[in-house]
Amino acid sequence: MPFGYNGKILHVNLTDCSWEIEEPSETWYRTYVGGTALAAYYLLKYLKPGLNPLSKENVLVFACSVVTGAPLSGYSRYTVAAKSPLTGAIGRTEAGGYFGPELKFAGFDAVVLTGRSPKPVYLYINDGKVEIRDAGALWGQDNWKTLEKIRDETNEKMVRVASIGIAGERMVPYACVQNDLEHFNGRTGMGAVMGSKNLKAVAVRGHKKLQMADPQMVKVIREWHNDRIKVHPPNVNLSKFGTTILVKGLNVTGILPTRNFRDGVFEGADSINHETYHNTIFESNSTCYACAVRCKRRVSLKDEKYPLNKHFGGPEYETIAGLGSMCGIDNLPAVAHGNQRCNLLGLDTISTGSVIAFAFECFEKGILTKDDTDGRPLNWGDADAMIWLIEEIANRRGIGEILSEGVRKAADIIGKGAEKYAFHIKGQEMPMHDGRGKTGMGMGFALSPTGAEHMESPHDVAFQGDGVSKLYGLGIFEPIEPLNTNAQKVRFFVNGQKAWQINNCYGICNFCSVPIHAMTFQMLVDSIRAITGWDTSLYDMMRVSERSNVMSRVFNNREGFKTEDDRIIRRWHEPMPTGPLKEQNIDPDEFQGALALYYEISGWDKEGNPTRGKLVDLNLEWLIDES
Amino acid sequence: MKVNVMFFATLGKNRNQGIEEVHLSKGTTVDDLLKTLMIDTTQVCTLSVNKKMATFDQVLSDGDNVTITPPIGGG
Repeated sequence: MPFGYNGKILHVNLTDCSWEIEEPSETWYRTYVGGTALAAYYLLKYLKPGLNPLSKENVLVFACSVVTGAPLSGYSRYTVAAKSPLTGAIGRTEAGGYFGPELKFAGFDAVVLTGRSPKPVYLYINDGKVEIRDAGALWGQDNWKTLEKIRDETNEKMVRVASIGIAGERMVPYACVQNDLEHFNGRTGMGAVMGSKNLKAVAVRGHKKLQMADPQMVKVIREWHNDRIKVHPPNVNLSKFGTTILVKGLNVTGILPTRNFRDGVFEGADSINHETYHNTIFESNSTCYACAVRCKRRVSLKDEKYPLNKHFGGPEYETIAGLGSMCGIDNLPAVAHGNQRCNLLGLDTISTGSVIAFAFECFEKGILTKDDTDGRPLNWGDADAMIWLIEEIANRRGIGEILSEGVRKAADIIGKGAEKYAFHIKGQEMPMHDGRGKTGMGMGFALSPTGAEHMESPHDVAFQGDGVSKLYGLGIFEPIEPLNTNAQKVRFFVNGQKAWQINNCYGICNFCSVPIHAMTFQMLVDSIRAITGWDTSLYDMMRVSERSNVMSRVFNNREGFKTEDDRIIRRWHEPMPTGPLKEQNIDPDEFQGALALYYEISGWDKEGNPTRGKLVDLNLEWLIDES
Repeated sequence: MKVNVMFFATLGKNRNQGIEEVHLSKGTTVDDLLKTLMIDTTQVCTLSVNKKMATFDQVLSDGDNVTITPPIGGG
């Protein structure tokens, strides 16, 4: 009997409403463990290169890991993956909450969906029983009504639902998947893939107890971990204020994305920072399965214009910056209301904020005019315009039809030089971090297989001075300088990426894990050993992480991506205009040199293809002809 | 007693090149030190004492080296 996992993968063909259960070997589970690695395996195995991501041939994977659902803080996350309609590259995105553990308790480690249903449906998995149910009455409903109706229909108050809103139904390429309106598989447009399959939701309910190899050891680790969470400074702050503290931290550091990355200091930051948030709209903390950090926020406000409902989610840092400083907006209730509209409609708030900032800048430059916007001006700081655009985008109306395509395609449609203000990497809009203040993170943006991504690697700033002690377990002993792009930075990035991506393969939250938060490398490894009973090591786990990255790279290369797609945005090569980092930029030649060194260290050739030797080393011989 | 504090990013602004020697009374905690330096605890990410991760309630000793970096990333 396996420990930590079910040994069962559910395969569903939506075209003919059939399903079967695969039972892979322990060797397979040790090789692909879960999350991004497991998902990449199925995408490479089942997808032919070049197909339309919104065609029925796309494959959609919901992937837990061998440890998802263990009663440890942060061990709750799952991956949703498919070929991305936003980028054409591998699409994948993680979320916490309760959905992942519930899928495990319902009897499956992952669900692989193929085909397209002839009519709207939702998949219901209840203690191993699989049903494909009619979703005609749910189609057109927002995420809250969908959740309520599925709870009623299944007569299960505790059913966990991953669903899409109307943005997903209308296949907006940056539509998200959400669960409980607090947890979001936000990026790369997985909601659109669900919409293309006429799949409104996946609902799960289970009562199976997770069997662990050494439950007593897991209990010891849980108590140690949760005690540490109470005192470890980054976790203390996350518990008190969530990620909202970053608004102030990044603004004073001069890297709070402001007005479409034009600046790194926002004059209205005090109006949207954690102090204002917790003095005005904060309702309560919320959390994910078994997590002691409780970083999630609920908000409420009785306001005619920007009402806030405690059930519809509170904005986190990325959203506050995306709908706030990026758009020049310092009205926190409006930002929080915009967030709740995105949550109900099913839009990724990062891409949505970036798209609106792009539209505002195009309007400022005269590229868009009132003739394009039903007579409505789109000025920096206009909160009403931001809310209006969210509705137009989700409904694909008017200017929203163009903007719903994402900045890359929208700029192509608009023309007139709009591409100069369309900031994306591999087609995905930018998360709310500026590489000019943390170049290692900038490398992550360039090299992430999903396009612009802030969760690819640890951010440099934490490892300055003696902060580098957090990296000793990786064999890195010299302090990290955030503004350098030298060999030492590449060494940090290569190893930091492998360590960080363990979290996405094993479905563990970065806010509970290595290298920054309340976990040590040793205890992380011990936890995996105690849950699975496997004789594993940090080395083994970093190889899983690297395997995931290499598989994603192979996927992208066979889709036609080249080294020139590994890049950062124009504005990061330009000097920061104001603030503490005034005149700071990323030198293009140095950055190219850093990327070339990364390929070399990683065992990739000059064209960015993993070498035959690297594939063999990672037990990926089956991909030799694909690379 | 004396401790050496190393600040990073804007936490070190207007301080002696980001390094400061601070005189404290015996029994002072990291939290007390931050109050002395007028640094808000919410603006602390990495906190280490003598190259080991530290907590706000940790009691400092003479000659300790303290490193502080600001919050920097996350989703």
